[in-house]
Amino acid sequence: MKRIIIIFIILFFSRSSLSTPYFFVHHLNPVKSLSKDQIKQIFMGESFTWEDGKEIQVVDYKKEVEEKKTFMKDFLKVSPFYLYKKWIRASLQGNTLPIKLFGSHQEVVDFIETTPDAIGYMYLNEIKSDKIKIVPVKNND
Amino acid sequence: MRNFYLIVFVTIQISTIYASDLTGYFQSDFNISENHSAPSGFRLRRINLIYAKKVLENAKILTDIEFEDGLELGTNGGIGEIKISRGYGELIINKNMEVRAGKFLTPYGIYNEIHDFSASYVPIDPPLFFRKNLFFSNTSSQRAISKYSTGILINFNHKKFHLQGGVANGEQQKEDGSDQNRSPLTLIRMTYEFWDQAWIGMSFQRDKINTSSRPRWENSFAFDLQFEGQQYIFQTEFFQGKKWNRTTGVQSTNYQSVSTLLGHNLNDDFIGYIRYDVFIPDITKSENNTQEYGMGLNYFVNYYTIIKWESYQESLATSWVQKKDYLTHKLSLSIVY
Repeated sequence: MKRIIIIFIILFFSRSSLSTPYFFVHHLNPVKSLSKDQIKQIFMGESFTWEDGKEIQVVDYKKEVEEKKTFMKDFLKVSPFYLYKKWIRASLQGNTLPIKLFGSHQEVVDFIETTPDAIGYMYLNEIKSDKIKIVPVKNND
Repeated sequence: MRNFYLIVFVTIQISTIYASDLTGYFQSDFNISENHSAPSGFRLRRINLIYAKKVLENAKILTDIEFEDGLELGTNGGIGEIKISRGYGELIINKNMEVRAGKFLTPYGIYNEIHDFSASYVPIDPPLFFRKNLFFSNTSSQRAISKYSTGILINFNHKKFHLQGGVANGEQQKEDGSDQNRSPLTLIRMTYEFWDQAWIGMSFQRDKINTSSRPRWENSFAFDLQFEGQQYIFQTEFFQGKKWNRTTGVQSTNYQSVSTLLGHNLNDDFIGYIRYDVFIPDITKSENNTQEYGMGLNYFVNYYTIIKWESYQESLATSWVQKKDYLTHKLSLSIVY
């Protein structure tokens, strides 16, 4: 019975860690933590500025990257079409910077290292840069 | 074609100066119409240059210059036009409220505020009710609602409830940006997300038309329902409008329209859909109507580039035009940059 419970707990937590990726920003970004709702708003083009008023530069992967598909389905829980439409509308309202798309983790890391207002994500923590910090994710209030 | 290059050149020049604040939109269509007066072929639908800038911590301006329908600069040959389709300042009062003043797309139904940008909705064209040149009689064609408004609009958001209300100059007979009608238009739009990614919406317009020959009121009401899940999209809208003479009080027209769309995400890149629209210019003579039913595909090249195909049948059945059915195939490319 104990084994079953342990296996269940492992599966439960491994599932949680899969559905919530690591979010990371430039080390000079003053943000201390973000809630899941805040992150969803940022990645769906609904929230455009950091608390200090600077515009958020959202970084994502090209559509063929498997991580992006997982992120849309498991974390944002929206279809690609819904997400693209949100970004198109936000862009045409002049509300947000165009999203930056990259094909690999390394490209995302390289970009965020040099862009203080950018935010990106990845499911496995492969970050080995002291110019980048992981943002803790809070549960929604 | 020369003018197309000119527009592209101007766009690039402006982009280099105001790169961070400038966005734009490009759409080109190709259509094949059987038995239709509209010629088959390529069409440069529009190029928009949108300049948006935060001028203060809590204030933004937006200017949207639109080149429509293959504008022919300096000649009489073109059917297109150039206009400021949107130009407004927006003041953020607090996190729930914004006040907008200037010229904007009237909040009405699902489509009117995104009317010009096919990339931000499923079909290639918005439903019949939102288009220009709707035939109300054998002599006149016009819009059913005011597409643009010049006035003041308040946007209010609270959790899943969104309210927009304003007062504006009213229906503009011309679409070049000039105001022909400075009588007040009252407008309200409300949406509520009652379930995850499911919305209910209501819109209302009351327009006072001041033409000397036919001074009249125009009231219009719309109800809409939307659902956008990971697999399916469903949209339906119902419209009802009335026009009556302000002097005599006699009602002249009572019109209705319904549009419905059902879409399915075929995979991460494609959406297939079917749609049906009907517009009845006078419900006392409901046999006079325009109907469209069609099917199509959206292909997402990336976040900002969409290719669409649609085939639809248009059926005109009016007492002043011989009954006709038109079959049209359209291909469209939209790029947001």
